[in-house]
Amino acid sequence: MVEPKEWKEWLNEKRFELLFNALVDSYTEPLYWQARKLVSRHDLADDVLQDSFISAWKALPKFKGESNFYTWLFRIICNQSFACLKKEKRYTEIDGSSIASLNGDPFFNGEQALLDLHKAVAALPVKQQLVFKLRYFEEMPYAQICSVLETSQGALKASYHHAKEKIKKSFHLD
Amino acid sequence: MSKPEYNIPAGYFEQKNAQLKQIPQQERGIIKFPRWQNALAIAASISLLIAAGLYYTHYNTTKNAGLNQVSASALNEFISYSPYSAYPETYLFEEQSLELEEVSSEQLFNEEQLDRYLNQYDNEFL
Repeated sequence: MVEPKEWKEWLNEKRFELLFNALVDSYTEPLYWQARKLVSRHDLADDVLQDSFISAWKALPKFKGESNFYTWLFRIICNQSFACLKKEKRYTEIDGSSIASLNGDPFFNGEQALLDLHKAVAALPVKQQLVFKLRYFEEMPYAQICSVLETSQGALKASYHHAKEKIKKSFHLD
Repeated sequence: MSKPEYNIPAGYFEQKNAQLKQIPQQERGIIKFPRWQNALAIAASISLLIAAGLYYTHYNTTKNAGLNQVSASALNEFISYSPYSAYPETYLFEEQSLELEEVSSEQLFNEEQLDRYLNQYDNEFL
């Protein structure tokens, strides 16, 4: 998406509230879907979206405008999703409720195989989960994942490879 | 394998947009002071408490300052003061009882002595 030039002007003029409202109108929906694909559940994606926009509002005065606004917001969404998954992973390790709740999620419309895949992915270490979801579900190029997660391409490829092997093992496909 | 399909509640994005636009007002309501102002406020509070304590201590010292200027011997004399010490005779009478013989007035004074006494001081008192 080509962003309007006014946005950078508003940023320079410190008209942050006007700029923030424009970002909300333009990017709430695509950012929600990004969060949803990473965390799977609607309630978690809703929390991630809210926390991300709060972080964005606080960081807006410090944003230098070197990248476009969507890339910047996308990075925030990934970081918040990462933090959310880490928190959920802790709860999962305690009582497995996070994965089990996918079964009862009224907003999950996938077939049983997809549910099993989600469960296998949710069992991965958090960083591998994120890499797998961005590469497999989002079909994001490694170069873009690098800039979002601030990791080298080599580390990302290794992470993705390990994630795939673990999932194959859980489906007895190795 | 097909990609997962996710559903959302009806009207979710319209409601969410309105909710997200409230963030600037909500964040503005939280007043955060810079750290140095917090430190200054704490230092000022502590200084006030110390000053109040010092003032109270000084006030009490000033109120009772007169006693510090009184010598120990004067204090001792005051404490040991007895109303009977001004009139030792009465004190003596209080402490000791004199046993006197009962003597009539006719035995103490004869008439001639009495007349002489009265006439001697007659002019002085009239």
